[in-house]
Amino acid sequence: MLEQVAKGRTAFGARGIIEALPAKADGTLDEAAVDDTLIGAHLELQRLSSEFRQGPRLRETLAPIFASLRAAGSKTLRLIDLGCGVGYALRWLAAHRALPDDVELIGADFNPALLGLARAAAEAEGLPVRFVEADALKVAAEAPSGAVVISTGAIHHFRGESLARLLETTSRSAAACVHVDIKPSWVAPMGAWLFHQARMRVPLARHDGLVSALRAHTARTLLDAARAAAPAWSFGVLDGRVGLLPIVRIMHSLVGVRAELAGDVEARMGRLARRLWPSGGLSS
Amino acid sequence: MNDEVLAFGVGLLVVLDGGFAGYRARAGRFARIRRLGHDLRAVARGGFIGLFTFAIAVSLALALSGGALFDVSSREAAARILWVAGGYAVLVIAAFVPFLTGSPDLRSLTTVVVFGPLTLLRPALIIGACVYAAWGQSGRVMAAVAVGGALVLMQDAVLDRLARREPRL
Repeated sequence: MLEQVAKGRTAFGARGIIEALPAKADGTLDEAAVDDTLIGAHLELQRLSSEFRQGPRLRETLAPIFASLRAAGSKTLRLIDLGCGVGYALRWLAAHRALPDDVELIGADFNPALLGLARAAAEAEGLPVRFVEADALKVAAEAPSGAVVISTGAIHHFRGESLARLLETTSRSAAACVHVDIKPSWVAPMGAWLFHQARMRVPLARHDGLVSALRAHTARTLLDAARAAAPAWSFGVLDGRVGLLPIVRIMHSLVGVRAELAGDVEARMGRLARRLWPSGGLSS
Repeated sequence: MNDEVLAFGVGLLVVLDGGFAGYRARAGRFARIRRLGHDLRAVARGGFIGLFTFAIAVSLALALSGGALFDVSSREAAARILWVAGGYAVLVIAAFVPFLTGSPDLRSLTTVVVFGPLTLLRPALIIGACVYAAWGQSGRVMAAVAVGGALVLMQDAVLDRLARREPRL
């Protein structure tokens, strides 16, 4: 594996990061070291999420959505975090009782090491969050009428066909989605580099910060993909507008709901709805 | 500015810097959401290391001067450090007002515009302050400033090593 990496093309020092990881005698990476590096990087990302107030921002978006789902008669309310990592978003929401108690919080990821820490952290603080090694959309599909799928910093990993497939499957498996990610702008790559140099110690986290800023989807890309994949839903990109100096709101969120819920969700969002790009509301 | 105020001011800056370094060393290494107690302990540990650093620097200055903490040269050096590092500290502390009381947007802006860049600038600022303080002073003062500056910069490494050993939960 290491030989393949060394021969291949990598960007922004990725090769060096992988080569620095301990290898076993058979040439494969040491799984424990990889897990430890991933956990370290995710904890640094957790710090960044905390500094950028991801928790309160999610709360102000999710609370009206769940209120609307409840009003529409959904019995089982579920929030599923796709690619939850160490589960910061859900644990924050639980610790601050940001959503009604009957909203079930489920984190889904495929990495057992990250899930292990997420579970241990939730248990240590007595937080009612469940973490599962599973496909988030399959979990949502168990009770689609009350399921909301979220992700933080993950949607730029889905590109082209896989982005379309994700959004299309979401529209069949859930009632709403909120995908939070870095907002691309002229300042984002430079800002991400500077910020990750200042804040991050783990080389993988520094690398990921810059590459994520470069790979992040524009609001237009997200909106076009969403509308094509889920015509029965209404979408808007919260804070999708890129101003002259985009340093206050450096993240944007693709917000989507089933079309019949759009008016009610918008009304419950109040002034927040005005920040939905492009129309100041959710539209098909 | 009298000698006691000068010494207290420089000492306070070193302890404050240690406190922030202690916080930084544990930031991004602790998984819990409720972390106030943990963060306060990290700040206290950093402040203690800062106090220890200051004590070493004062002992060194006293040893080099034969018992007198300040003469004309060292007094000027200390005042220069106080102006440069003090200005930096005032900026950082002032930024906590919007960070702790503002809206999520204001808090994010403070992080992006103030805390992030200032953290990145800190080593250069310490070196710059030391060079400015030592400029044109006696050899004894230059040596004391150089050692003091190096000790302050080393606080990060010491605290980082300590922080790495602590559990994630």
